[in-house]
Amino acid sequence: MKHTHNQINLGIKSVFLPNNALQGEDIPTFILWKDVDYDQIIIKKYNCCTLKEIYNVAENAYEISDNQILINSVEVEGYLGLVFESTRSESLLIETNLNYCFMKKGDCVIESKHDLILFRPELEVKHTPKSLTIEEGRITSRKIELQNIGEGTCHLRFKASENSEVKITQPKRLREFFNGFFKTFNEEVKKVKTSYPNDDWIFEDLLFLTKTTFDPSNKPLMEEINLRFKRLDEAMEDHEKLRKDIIRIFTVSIFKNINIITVMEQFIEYLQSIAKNRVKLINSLDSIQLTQGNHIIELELYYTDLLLSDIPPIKLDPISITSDADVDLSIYNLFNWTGGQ
Amino acid sequence: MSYEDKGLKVGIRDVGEIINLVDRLSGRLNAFNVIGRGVTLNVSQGNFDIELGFEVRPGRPLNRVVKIPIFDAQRANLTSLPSFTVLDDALIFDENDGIVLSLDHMPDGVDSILLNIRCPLKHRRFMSMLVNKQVQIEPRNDVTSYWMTAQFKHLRPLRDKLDSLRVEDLDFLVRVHIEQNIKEIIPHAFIRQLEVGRDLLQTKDREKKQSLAREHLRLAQANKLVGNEEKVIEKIEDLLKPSNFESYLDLIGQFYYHDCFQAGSFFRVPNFVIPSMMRVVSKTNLTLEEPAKEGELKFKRREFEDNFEEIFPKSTKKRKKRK
Repeated sequence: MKHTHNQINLGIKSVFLPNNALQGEDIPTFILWKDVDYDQIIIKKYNCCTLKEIYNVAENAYEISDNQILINSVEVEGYLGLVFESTRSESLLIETNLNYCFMKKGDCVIESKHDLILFRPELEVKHTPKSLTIEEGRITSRKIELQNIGEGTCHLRFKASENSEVKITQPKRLREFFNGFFKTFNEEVKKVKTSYPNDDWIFEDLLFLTKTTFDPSNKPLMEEINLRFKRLDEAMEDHEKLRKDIIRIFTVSIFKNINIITVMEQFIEYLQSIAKNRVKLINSLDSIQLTQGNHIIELELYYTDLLLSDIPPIKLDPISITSDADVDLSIYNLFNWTGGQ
Repeated sequence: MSYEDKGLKVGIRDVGEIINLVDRLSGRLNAFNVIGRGVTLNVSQGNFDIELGFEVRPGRPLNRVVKIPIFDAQRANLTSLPSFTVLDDALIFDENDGIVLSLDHMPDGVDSILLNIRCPLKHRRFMSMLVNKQVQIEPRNDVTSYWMTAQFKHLRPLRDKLDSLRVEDLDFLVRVHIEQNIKEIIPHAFIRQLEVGRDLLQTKDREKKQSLAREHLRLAQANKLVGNEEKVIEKIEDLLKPSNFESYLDLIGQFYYHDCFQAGSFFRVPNFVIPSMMRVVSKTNLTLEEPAKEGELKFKRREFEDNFEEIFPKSTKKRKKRK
């Protein structure tokens, strides 16, 4: 990773700080040096992040003051590592920087400055129609318009509010597919887990994550998902055989149930679940059933980012839907996506 | 400060188990002069090697048999230094005593020896206590590379007790999100053709079936993809085979490529046609001399999109605005 160094001498071997990260993501950084004459290292940070972890420094060998961390000594010469915690901010983009200063008798003798941009997604409603018209099974009036005005992925779930006359439901064939998939999945997990007698928790996490409906409106559930997701990911990363076994469980479970849902249906679901600017629809194939005539739908949009952050939902004003016939309409049809890719 | 709570204590305890083992082994070899104590953690294989170099002290009588009570060793060998000749006869496994070094079977003139013992790592979460590893969850919209980093949490207890420590094959799984790129390239007309094809298969209403069949034929002719939906899907699947996809990846810095595989999202309907992302496995090593590493995984998006676009006949191609 390229950084701008402003070094007075060549004692620094390597410095790492990411140049971009999602708001809320941990920001790791380190510096390696050799033959530097210094009596203190000062790390200056602007407009971001709190110290989360510090490596190779004894507990009593550093202080935190305002936007600075003062390191009086490291345990083993030549290496300092830190992890900062970034937080979600009001601003979509935060431009910040971090500055390593090697001090000698109060002067900065080596300086290394690095820029960092912290970004986040945000969903904005660009247009909410008062009414939608459906003719011959298609929406012919201006649709609901949404846009990710920030950067980064949004996972979005549509819900109808409790008072909504029109409800959102999962199609029967999708339900059948899920049932078959989970049955096979359970069987495959049982077979594989015998090879990992000390790691029951891995398979509990795997079953939980596969069976749980991802629902950003349920905060405790999302916290549970986040915890298990990170734990499972770490286990998969640290163990190649386990990783391969888990991939196999998924592959077998999908292919044994391929007859329930067609390749074409799957492909359409895949395509329709991807909106613009990295917005991914969780329940794109869920549908609304309408009879001929007028109905009122009250929609709530729950979304989160890839860190599964808690983001306030968007509640749309009631929309009147008029259909010329009985119709079963997939939810993605109600929306138009604006903005970039 | 929080680092004590973030696994360091546990980490030291776990690494401490290995260090204690090295200490105990050194104690068993007290008739010798221990000249080097090293540990190699083979992360993806889930085991570790202890390497002990020792030499015969001149003029000191030897214990003829040295018993090392390790019973779960996956491998152990003894080699003479500096020739690295394997001393098979001088090492045996015994049910009751574990690893036994029998010096009666040591050739004359050998005075420097390397003992290597490989044991399993029992704790699955061992590494997170020793090393902080991180990969970027996703880059900014116009960026196609993902940062990766690994760093030892604390060096001192390791440096104090070991002459060398090598953590080998630390795996890093980056999620390269490809679905937005795929969606943007697939022509709307082709998606419509698929939808009509699906409705045609599902409807039981004869009149509706006829009307859908007519629309499907019209779309297929216009798209120059008559009867070819499945072939298109096959071509996409081919492009996304790990052996093909790896040509769109570039590793920069101190990490090396290992593998990649297709993955769906836990958060949506399981996919069996097209993956939501490719998970790319790259690796790095850490040593006491190189306690922190950085790397970058670059996804060659432009090349990927160009090849993807070739799947569709020219008339159906979507003109993308390229930055």
